[in-house]
Amino acid sequence: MRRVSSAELLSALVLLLPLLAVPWAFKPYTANVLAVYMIYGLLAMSLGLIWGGAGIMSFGQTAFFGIGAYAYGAIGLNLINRTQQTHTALLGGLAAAALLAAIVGYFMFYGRISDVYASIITMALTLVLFAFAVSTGGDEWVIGVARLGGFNGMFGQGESSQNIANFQIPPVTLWLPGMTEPFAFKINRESAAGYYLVLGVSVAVYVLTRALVRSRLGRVAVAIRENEPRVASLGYDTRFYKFALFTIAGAIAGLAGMLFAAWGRFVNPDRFGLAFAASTVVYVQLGGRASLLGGFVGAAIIGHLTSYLAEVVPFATIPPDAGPWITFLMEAGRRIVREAPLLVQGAVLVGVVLVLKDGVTPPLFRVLARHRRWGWWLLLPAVLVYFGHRVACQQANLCVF
Amino acid sequence: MSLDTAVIMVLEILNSITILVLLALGLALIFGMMRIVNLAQGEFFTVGAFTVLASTRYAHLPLWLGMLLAPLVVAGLGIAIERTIIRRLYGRPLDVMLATWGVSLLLIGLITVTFGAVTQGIPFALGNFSVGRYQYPEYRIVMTTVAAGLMLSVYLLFRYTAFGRRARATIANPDMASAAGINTPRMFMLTFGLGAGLAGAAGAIMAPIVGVVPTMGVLYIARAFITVVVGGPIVLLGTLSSASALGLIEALISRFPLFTIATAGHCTPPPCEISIGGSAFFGQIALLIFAILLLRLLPQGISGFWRQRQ
Repeated sequence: MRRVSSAELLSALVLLLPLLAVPWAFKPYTANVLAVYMIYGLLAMSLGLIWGGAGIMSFGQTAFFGIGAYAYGAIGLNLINRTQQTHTALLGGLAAAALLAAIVGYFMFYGRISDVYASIITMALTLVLFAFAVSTGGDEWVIGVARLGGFNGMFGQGESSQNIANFQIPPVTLWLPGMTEPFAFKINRESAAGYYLVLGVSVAVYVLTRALVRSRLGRVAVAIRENEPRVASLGYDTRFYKFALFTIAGAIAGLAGMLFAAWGRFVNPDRFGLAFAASTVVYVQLGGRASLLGGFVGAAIIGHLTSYLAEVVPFATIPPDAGPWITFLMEAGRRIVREAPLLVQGAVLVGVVLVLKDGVTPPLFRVLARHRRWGWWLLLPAVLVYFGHRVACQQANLCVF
Repeated sequence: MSLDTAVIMVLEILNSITILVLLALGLALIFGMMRIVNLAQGEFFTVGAFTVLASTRYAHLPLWLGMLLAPLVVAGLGIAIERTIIRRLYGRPLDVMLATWGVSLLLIGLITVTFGAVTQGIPFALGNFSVGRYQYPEYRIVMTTVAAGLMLSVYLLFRYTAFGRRARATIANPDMASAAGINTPRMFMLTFGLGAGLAGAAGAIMAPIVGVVPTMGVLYIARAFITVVVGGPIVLLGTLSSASALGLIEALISRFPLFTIATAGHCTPPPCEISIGGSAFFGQIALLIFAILLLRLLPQGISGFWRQRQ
């Protein structure tokens, strides 16, 4: 166990160091995509915390993500033009997600319902929130100046002739005492501050969560996962430990949701949808729930795979003189690519359960732990690629990523 | 409240209960007897509805024949999934849940690839009958009759036939049943197939009154699971009692607005207000909240509470 954890630390650093230099070597587009993978990774980590830590399978971790995003958006839209910063929105989003998790957790764990029922209730919660968010399309659904907007997602109210950017959810904006003007974290040609914000929050939450797992709370949670009646008979109030861990995980999911709303400056009911809930479980399942890094690895693999599938298979127009079989095959290929995310997620869920029970990170860690000496040399190809790409970008305008 | 309003109200509550029973019956069988959380149940429902669609629209069969075909097709699909996937995962409840969720996503994807992501209707030729000032669809009465018939047949099947006895023995004690010469893997397979077939039947029966779309199962799966969980360990009576309690709440809240909240939007025409209650959506919210409260009080579900009292 000890060896695997230090291999995890090594893997974390091997993952982190290349990420630090991404905005230096690549286009803002790449930083943008990596930021959203990290946000999904944070969400997956919150699920991994309660699933791997306490054995509670929450299908509805996205409910807290979505609530965090909507609360941040609503408060941010209302206050950004008055106070020029989003401190209140950040606190409000976090509080909303933690509060929802605490209420649901109270009813689930203090009601002593079994683990299977807990999964079903969290799933039902997400689906009901989806139905709610979709049904808020009318003009009457507003919070101050923020329109919930139904399927169209959240926007501020205002004159349609003004710049659209004024009605979008604000990016994370700080205006601390001593600063002459507010600072907005964005990802574009001029600034990678938004990227570093997401990276910094991910690292900080990862470190804190790792400490939490090793604290008394985390160790009791693992004991509950292994044998709950025995822990209870030793005098621990297992309900409280599950409740506390669930609430913390809900708050982390809400934090990820706020970062998401600030990243895309947008949130819509899809965050409560089944596909998103499924993808979160798939990230953790594929990455492995024995380690907190699993969620990040899974998010990166699946995110890359689905976007790769969507890009690589040609969407060419079918030539009019093509034979019926060619037409049929091309049409079928198109339809399959359109549904690729669902099909990939479904296949991964079934495949991992049947074949690769612990996900991909434990085997990776074992390899790293065995060859710890040359683990650092893994960074060498990354350094070469980064330098090569930056030079090619600047000298010959040959940017790919 | 005048008499005809009261009659319509009773009919609508009956309809809510019918829908919950139809959705939950197959699931209760699989969950209650095999302790398997089958998240693909919603897609079995969808496949049932699409079987009706395909057989009436593309094969030009009469509607009733399509509806008879649907449970058979879905039962076959269920048996195939049990044999290839679920059989390897008995004793790992969480993994079964994940694998069946994967199957569910794959089925949604495959149905969308085949039929497209559009909502399609199935025409049928039943009219309305009148209750005082109101009109009420005859088909809903047919649905209630079919749901009652299905429940009764399941009861008779498990209570009085040789198959039912063997299945109950397998569920109660698989090792002992196996020692007594019962082919237990076959019993699990058939029970799962039966549960799947019941979901297919529900999909076929409800296909004409709801839009047939690949994601339709998702809309119902949550309600079905809540009904089963609130019902508790006694399969048929538990399902019926929780469907009655939840259906009553759902129908009442969907029908009557509770109160309104004024908001600051720009509505045409003003005033801007949100009405809490009085729509199908608030009925579902009330159902969920009521179910969570009920589970806080009765963690074993309604029928588990009876069992404790005895």
